Amino acid sequence: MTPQETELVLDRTLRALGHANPSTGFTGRLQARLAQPAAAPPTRPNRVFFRPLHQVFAFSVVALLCTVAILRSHTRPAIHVTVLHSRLGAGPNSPTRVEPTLAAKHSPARRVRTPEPGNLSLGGGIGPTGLSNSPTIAPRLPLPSLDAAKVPDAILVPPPEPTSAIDAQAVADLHAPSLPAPPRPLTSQERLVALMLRQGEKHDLAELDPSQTSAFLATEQAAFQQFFEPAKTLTPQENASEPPPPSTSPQP
Amino acid sequence: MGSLPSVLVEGSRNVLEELILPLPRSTPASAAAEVDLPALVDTYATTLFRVAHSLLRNRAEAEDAVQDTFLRVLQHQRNLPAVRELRPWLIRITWNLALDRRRRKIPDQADDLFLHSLVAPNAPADQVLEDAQGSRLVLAAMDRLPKAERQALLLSALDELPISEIAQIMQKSESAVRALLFRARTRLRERLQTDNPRPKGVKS
Repeated sequence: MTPQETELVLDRTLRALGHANPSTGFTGRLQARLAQPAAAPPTRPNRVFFRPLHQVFAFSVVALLCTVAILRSHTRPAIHVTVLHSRLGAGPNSPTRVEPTLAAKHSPARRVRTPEPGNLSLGGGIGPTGLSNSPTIAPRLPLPSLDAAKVPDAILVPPPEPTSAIDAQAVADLHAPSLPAPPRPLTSQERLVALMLRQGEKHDLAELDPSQTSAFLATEQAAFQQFFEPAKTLTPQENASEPPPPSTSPQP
Repeated sequence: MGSLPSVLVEGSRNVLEELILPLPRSTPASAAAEVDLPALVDTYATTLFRVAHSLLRNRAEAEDAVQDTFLRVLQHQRNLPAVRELRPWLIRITWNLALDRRRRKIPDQADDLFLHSLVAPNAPADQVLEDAQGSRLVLAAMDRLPKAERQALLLSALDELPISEIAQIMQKSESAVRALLFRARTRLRERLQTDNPRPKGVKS
C-alpha cells in the first residue's frame, strides 16, 4: 500500500466506526428495560443494623434460634403422613385429613386451615378428584375411611405461596410495552444470500424485464461506442487510392 | 443479561469512585430525583453505542454493553448529581464493560457483515470488496496496537469527543493523548505498508 492509500483506508475505517448507528428502536427498548421494576436498584438495608452493638445482638439472636431449632429437630418424632378424606365424594373444599403413624400419635394435635381452591398452585394442594397433588407427600390411595371421625389428629398441608419473585417478573414481562424486536443476526447462509443480493441496478432490472433488455443493450452499446470515433464512409476515390491489403498467402 | 464478573464490578466501582466527587453530608435526598434517566438515555445512547461498537465490532453486543452501562447508572442514581462530567464518566463505564465483553468473545470478530457495514452501501461490488479488505487490514493492525494507543485512536474517531474529553476519559493530559494518537497512526501506517506491500507492476 502506498502512504496515500494507507491514509485513505485508515480514515475511512475510523470514520465508519465513528458514525455507526444503533438499530431502530434501540432507545425505546432501553427505556423500557430501565423502566422495569427488576432494573431498579436494590433497597439498601438499614444502616442501623450495621452498627457493631447491633451486629453482636443480631448474631446472638440468630445463634439462639439455630440452637432451639436443632434441639427441636432432635427431640421431635418423625411424622409419616397419609392423606385421607372423610367421605368418598369429598370435593376440593373438604378439609384434608392426614393420618399420623404410631410414632406421631401422641404428638400435640395441630389443625390448619384448608387451602381455598383458588389458591391452589400446580406444585401442591388438592386436585379436583380429591387426591393430593403435592409432590412432597407421597399419598396413598384414598380409601373409604369408615372411621374417619376417629382419626385423632389432622394435619393439613399448608398452601404454597401463590406468587413469588419469578411470578412477579413474569407478570411484569407480560405487561411490558410491545416494541419491535431487534433484528436477529444472520446465519452464514443468509450472509451469502445478502452478498449475492441484487441492488436494483439497471442491468438487474433489464434481466428481469424482457421488454427493457433490448433498450438496455442499445444504451450499453452506444455508451461503448462513444469512446471511439464514428466510422467514416469512404468515397470511391479514397477507396481506389487505398492500397490493397497485403496478402499473406503465397501466390502459386 | 447475565451477572457481571466480580473483577469487572470492582473495576467499575473504582471508576465510579474516581469520577464521582465525594458527596457532602448535606446533600439533599431530592437531588437524586433531578437526574432524568430517560433524558440521559436519549442524549448519550448513540455515543455510547459507537464507543462499544468500535471495540466489540458487533451490533448486538454493543447494544447489550450500552444497556449494562445504564443499568449500572441506575444503581448509582443517588450519586449522579455529584458527577462532574457525565459523558466521560459514561464512556468510561461503557469502555470497561465492552472490554470485559470482548475478553469473553472469540478473538477474530471481524466478520464479513461487519466489514461490509463499514463501507459505502451503494458502491460497486468490486469497490465494496476492496474497501472491506482494506478495513479488515486496518482492524487487524489496530488490534496489535498497545491498549492506550488503540483507545485513543478509537475514541478520536468519534466526532463529538474533543481531545480534552478523551484525556479525561483516559486520565491523561491532552498532550499525552495527542502523542498517543500520533504514535498510533504512525505505527498503523508503517504496519500497513510493510505487511501489505503493493505487488510489482501495479500502479497506484
